[in-house]
Amino acid sequence: MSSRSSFSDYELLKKVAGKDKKALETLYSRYSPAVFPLLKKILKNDRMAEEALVDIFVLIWRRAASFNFKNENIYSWIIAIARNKAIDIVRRTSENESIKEYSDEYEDKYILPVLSSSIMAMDIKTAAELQPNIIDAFNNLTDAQKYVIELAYFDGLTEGEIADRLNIPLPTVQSKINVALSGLNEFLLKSRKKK
Amino acid sequence: MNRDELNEKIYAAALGCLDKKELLLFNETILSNPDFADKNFGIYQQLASLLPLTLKSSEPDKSIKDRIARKVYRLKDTTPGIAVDSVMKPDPPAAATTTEKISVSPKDSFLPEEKTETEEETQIPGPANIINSPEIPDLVIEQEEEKQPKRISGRFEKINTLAEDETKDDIVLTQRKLDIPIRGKKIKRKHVEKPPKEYDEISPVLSSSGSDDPEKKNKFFVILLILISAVAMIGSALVYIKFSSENDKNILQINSLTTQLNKLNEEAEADKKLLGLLESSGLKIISMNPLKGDSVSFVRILLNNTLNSGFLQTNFSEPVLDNKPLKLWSVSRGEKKLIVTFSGVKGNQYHPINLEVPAASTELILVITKNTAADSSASADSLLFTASYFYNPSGQ
Repeated sequence: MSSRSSFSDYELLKKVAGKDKKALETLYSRYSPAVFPLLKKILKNDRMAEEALVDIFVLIWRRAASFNFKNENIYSWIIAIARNKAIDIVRRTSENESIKEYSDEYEDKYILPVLSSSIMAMDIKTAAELQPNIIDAFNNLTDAQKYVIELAYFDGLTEGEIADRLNIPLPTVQSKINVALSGLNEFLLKSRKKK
Repeated sequence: MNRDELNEKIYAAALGCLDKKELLLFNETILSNPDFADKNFGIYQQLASLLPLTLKSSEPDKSIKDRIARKVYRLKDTTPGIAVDSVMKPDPPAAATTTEKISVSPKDSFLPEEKTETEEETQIPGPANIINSPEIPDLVIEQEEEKQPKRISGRFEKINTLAEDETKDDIVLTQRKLDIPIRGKKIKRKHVEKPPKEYDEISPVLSSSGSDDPEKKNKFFVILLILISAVAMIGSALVYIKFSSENDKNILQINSLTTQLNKLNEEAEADKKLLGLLESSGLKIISMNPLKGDSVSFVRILLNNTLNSGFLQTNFSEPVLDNKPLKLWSVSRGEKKLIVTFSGVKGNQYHPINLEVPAASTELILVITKNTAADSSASADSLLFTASYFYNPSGQ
């Protein structure tokens, strides 16, 4: 029997969609070291992060078949699920937020990401290779840009909420997000060119 | 949402900071608009997903894997599996697996003629893609990764090695837990609610005892036995208390019923006597003088001349002296005798009496006094009812 560890993330997810538990385990071994720090960062609680990690991989088990296998970006799909799930948990636990009951429909709308049909293929191995570059690129942003990205991505605030938090107009927030992401992309490309 | 609005929202959507309404609208628009050139969206989505790499890598507790396995087991495959072959296959240019697609190494075998459709797409005006950009060919990964494992420096070295360095034990363990064939043989699993025994043995965190330590197990069983004994004793005591209290209740009820029965018997006996008296030929009715101002109430003595016994009939429209005891006396030639004590209750009452009339007596005065009156010579206010009875032993 061939070991699942030789399979690509794409192949593993296909097998998970076919209810191959071993494939799920291999996928977990690959992705949990990347997903877990994200959950800890968003949830700010190790125990909650562990609970969320369990939920996320059970969700992947249940919903792997809903992944659009026309694209091959398993990495972005799993990270987006993890991020959306963690933000959802934060919003559900916050006192001034009333969120609908959790259902498959809710999961489809707000937890499972709709990836661009033209997104490039990416797996955890490729992403791991990019780690030094993305760290450099992120550090190259201005403090304000970093802060806006932190608020949006890790704190899960909407543009409107960021505007309220920073007491700045909404268009300014939108502009900062656009500039920050563009800058991040450009720096990443430049740093790769140099190497 | 028009095209300009859509393009404006791409950054926020990629970063996940649209509010729920905007997100739904955005998703609906891009899904329903196949012409939407969402290449930029894809690039920024990918970029956003790389942001967690700026965080310090950390591994979760090993028990998490067990918890996932258990949860997945509990799902009992409610969601039907999709055969790998039936899963939608990628379009022809992307038909190769990820490994194959990114397997061109720029250092040794980069082949420009093997450019995929994806690579061509990078030439479309717009933000360059960090993965597929031709300027950054060293991003690709060696194809023969298993034969020549590539060491990746950086925080994610662990991620890669973890996936590759699964030990044989780990595989067997997971195979057992997840019911995966071992060495070509399938372990048969009974379809029962409870996970197979070996699962608990393998996963001490999830096992029912929670520990393999025999001392701990013994301790656990001793505590369990003590608890069971205590519960049994408490249960027995409660049952005993319940039954004994019910028994007491029953005894009280029996006593009460016996009393009622005796009373009824007495009443029946009295009624029988009364009936006999009323039917006898020697019946004598002595009406006593009524109370002042009460023309309704009356007191009578129904007497059998032969037997010198009978009944005192009282019929009061209102309770006399608040139901306090009253006494019927006979006075014959100055000698007083108590005949009966009774209460002045409202309604019709019969009280059995016996008259011990001296044979020589020709006159009998009957008086009813308050209980406090010691005798018939008490003061006038103690006399309530009076009557004279002329004794006639022959009953004529």
